[in-house]
Amino acid sequence: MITVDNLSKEFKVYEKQEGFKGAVKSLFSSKYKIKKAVDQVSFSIDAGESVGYIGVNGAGKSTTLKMMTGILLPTSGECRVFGVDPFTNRRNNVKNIGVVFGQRSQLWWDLPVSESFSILQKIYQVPQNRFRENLAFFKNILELDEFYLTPVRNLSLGQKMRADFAASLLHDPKVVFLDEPTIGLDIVVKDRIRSAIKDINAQRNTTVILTTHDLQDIQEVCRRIIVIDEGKILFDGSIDALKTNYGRWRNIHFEIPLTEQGEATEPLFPPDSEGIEVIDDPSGITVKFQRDMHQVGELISRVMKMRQVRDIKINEPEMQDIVKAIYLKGSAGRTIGVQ
Amino acid sequence: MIRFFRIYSAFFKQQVKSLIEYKLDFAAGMVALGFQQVASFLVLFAVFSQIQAIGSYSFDEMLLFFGWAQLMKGFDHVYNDNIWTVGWWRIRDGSFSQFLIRPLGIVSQIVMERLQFDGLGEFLIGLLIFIYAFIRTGLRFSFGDWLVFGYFFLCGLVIYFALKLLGASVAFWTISSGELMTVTYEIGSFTRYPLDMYKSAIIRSLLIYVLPFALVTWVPMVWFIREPQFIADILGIPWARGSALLGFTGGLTLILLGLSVGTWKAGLRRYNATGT
Ligand SMILES: Nc1ncnc2c1ncn2[C@@H]1O[C@H](COP(=O)(O)OP(=O)(O)OP(=O)(O)O)[C@@H](O)[C@H]1O
Ligand SMILES: [Mg+2]
Repeated sequence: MITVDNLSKEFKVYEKQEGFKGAVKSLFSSKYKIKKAVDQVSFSIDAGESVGYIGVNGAGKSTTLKMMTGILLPTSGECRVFGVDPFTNRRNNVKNIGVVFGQRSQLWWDLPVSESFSILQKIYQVPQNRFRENLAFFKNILELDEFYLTPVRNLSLGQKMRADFAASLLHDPKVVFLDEPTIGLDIVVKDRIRSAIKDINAQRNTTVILTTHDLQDIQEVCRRIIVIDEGKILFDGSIDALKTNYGRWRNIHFEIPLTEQGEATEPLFPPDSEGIEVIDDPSGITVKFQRDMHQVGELISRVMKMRQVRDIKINEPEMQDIVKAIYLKGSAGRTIGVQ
Repeated sequence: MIRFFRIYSAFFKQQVKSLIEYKLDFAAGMVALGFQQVASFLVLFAVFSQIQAIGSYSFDEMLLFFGWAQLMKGFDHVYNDNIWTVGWWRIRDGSFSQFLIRPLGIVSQIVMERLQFDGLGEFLIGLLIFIYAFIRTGLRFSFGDWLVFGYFFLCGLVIYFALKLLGASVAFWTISSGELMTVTYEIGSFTRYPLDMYKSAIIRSLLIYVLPFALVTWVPMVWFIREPQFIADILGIPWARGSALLGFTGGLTLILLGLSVGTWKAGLRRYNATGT
């Protein structure tokens, strides 16, 4: 079990001024601002869960993960990973965890993948049998064989990521922290990584904590998501709960024959109607509406009366739209709060 | 500890392997290094052979200092070179983080990651000069002398280690401290020459107390070739004679080590990685 309790991280950001003159000036002043990268964050995650940790760029995802992995000392608050304080008890904590930072390989640049793995085996004291089993498992699902003897520095991005991912799991960690593990990967490799994550979560009960900007990752891999914005948690719950709470918008697409389009007729809805939005597109129109303010049947019959409609499609809200709405609302809410 | 050496030797094997794989590189590197070492030795020899003695020291005694200094520096260079990377760029680019996610001591990981074979040449030349000077000065070591010798050797390595670690730790505050480490290291080469050559009391105290390189080279050597009183006088510490001097050296070494480990630990708490 992982518990995070009022965890905060502040960075001092020294004020720099532009240009050379500015640089000289800032040499003699030490004005700084406090940047709250993570602001009183609390959550708890059970063993075996798979959690997506999402938010816009700079929201504080990586910083949270760095505190949970013992890289950064929190400014305040507490964090326990399977009962262990990651910073003060670093060496015990890292035995239990696996870490992948998509932006940077954790393997040794000059060593072949094979050697990196065998050194990791020694570092984590993985018994020989277990090591062989794991190796076979990951070689199989990640197809490592084609570059297993190549030095890490010569690997492509996707190959490096696969190697890094396997490396983080060789010692059977209880939890794995994946910070953008699919960044910059092609669809095939993404799929491979995703199914590997699903496998270790389902078959080995490894807890997974994942950050990403690709919501497909989340939809396929995670049952729960936590949304963070400007260091604060905006949402924490299941994907279904997210959809019912925030997915109040529905889309109906009306396909209208080309011949009938473009004729400027009276507007479908009064211009000031609330919770409704009409978007034109080449094949017809899309009506976006809020489920709790309008009836589907009414809308459809109204449009049918006024337009020639060939086909109708009702769409579930896309997760992407929901998340976008949360992100936008998050930053809007914050600005309002400031005023 | 056993695990430490196992992993160390795994890294070592890899390095030797890649050295052999790039045979030409390796051969060329060794030849170049050999030339460089021989050249610096010849320069020294040329300078020294013009003078029969410097101050109260004979030519052979000067060689003794030089050989010892070179040998210590070479040894340190071989096993403990990777720590420079912390000062130069590991904090700046955040790659320091990778040591923090492995269940081993951070410093041991840094040390074991790379052996610096360049230092081997320094070490060997130093050893040769030292042996030559040792014979020429007619030194004879009893068993006890060897023990003292080993003790000084150890203290010397610890001082080098502690100074480097201290220098690297500064990077936690300043992002990078490579220049500072270089300056420190350069000052270390002052101690190829005997401490009493420096007339300034400030420089002497600097080399004894602040950057105690005098304890690495000069003290161990004069211990064997001069009277205890002489050493105490130059050090300016009347009581530092015989075993008290050994205690003084060990004590200062430990204080320095404690200081540098403390600074390192404090630095780790400040480590901010980089934004990703
Ligand atoms: N070492 C640092 N020093 C100063 N500020 C930092 C540092 N690391 C992060 N920050 C700041 O903290 C905030 C959160 O950064 P963080 O890397 O956690 O974001 P993120 O959610 O991972 O974003 P992204 O999706 O872009 O990776 C950002 O505003 C960033 O500028
Ligand atoms: Mg990030």
